[in-house]
Amino acid sequence: MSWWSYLTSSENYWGSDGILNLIREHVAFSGFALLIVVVIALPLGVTLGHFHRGSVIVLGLANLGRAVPSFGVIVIFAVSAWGLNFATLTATLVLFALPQVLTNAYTGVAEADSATVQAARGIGMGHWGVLWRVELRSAVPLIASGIRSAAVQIVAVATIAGYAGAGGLGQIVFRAYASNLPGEQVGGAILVVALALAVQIVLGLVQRTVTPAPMRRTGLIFRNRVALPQPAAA
Amino acid sequence: MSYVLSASDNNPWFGLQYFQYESQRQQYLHSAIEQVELTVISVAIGIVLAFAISLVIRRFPIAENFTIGLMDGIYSLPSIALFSILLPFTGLSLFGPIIGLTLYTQLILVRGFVEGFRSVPDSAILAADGMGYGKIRRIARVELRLAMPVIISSIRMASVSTVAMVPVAFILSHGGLGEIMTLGYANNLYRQQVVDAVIGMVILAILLDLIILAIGRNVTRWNRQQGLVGT
Repeated sequence: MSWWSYLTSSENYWGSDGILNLIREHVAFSGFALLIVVVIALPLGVTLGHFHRGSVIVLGLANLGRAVPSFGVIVIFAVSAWGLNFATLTATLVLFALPQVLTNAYTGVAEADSATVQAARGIGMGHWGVLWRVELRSAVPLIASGIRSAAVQIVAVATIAGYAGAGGLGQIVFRAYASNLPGEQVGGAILVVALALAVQIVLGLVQRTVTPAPMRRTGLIFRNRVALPQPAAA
Repeated sequence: MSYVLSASDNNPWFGLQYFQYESQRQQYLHSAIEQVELTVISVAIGIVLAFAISLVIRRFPIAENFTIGLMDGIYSLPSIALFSILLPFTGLSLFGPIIGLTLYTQLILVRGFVEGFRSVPDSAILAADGMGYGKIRRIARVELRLAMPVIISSIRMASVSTVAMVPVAFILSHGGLGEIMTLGYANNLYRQQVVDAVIGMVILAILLDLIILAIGRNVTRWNRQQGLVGT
């Protein structure tokens, strides 16, 4: 079966192992992991950034994460006594996406224009005022781009988790690989790419929307300062 | 011969039983070498490509947004999907993993070269011009050297993430230590084999990082004495 006929036959879309259900699964556990990442990393990164503390740990964590293959962590969980269940899968996804949001939140807040921050202090703002009305606002583009790359990362790692039976779209690719069905394997891969690009585009639009209008044009300058994410890939 | 164990039996995490057979030692070594080879080849091609692309961007700054955007898009494709899509074109040859891995290095490396060139002080460029350097000689002997700290750090980053990505290429039959790991998983969840393979990958990543760091120190010896350009 060619990838085209795999993607165009409607019977492949329905049922518990159908494409639609696998997409739903993939989006569900990715979304849950992203939520946890944001809940943990955002307050932590923002707080550390505000007090300019812990940059060594924050950036070191991101560098360390780069050297550890996510595929390795997935397989290690899969051979553990727990196996790869919802909890261990979520833990893996969170582990590899956390540094993105953490570093960007930290960098965004810590590198808010210091003259503006001084001025805000000068007119009598306290910690909260400075944080809420100055630093957070200028950090918005970086934070949004951190969340976006975290989401892309989660979708990618979740695909690899299909190797150890986690479900999601990875299941199509790995099952087709194991039963030597190249057409289905390529078809599954195309679906994965489509999902990754969809996430990238939707969150890109969100990022644009939440960025205050005057800052949109300087978006690129900010992007250059973003700590590079781990490849979506690994 | 390989062990046959199951997760419920005596299946310890750590130990060197896996290495007591000559054939398995050979296999491990072979896979580790493959992982290093794939990384070095892909990053080397990636460096040449990124250098060329960065020169184009220097010449036509308009191309920067588009190029970086394109590479951002490639970077966000899950590797397992990219390798699977390459499969019909490259078969199980070495081209598949090398093309995939090289593509992934580009976002980091092109950005490294572009930022590196940007970090060269104008005064140095003017001085080179004043000394009568032609354009090519100026790039090779002045700009490239002053840009080196930024470029080297992007090469380190690209190498480390490439090492971590190689295992996924097991799907193209060239996964380096990823082969050992997946074989261990398939062999009744043989923990030692999985852990030995993953530890090997992390050690390779750290070693490669340190080697490039050392090379970088050597290439930029002037930087430590004079502190001309910050890293």
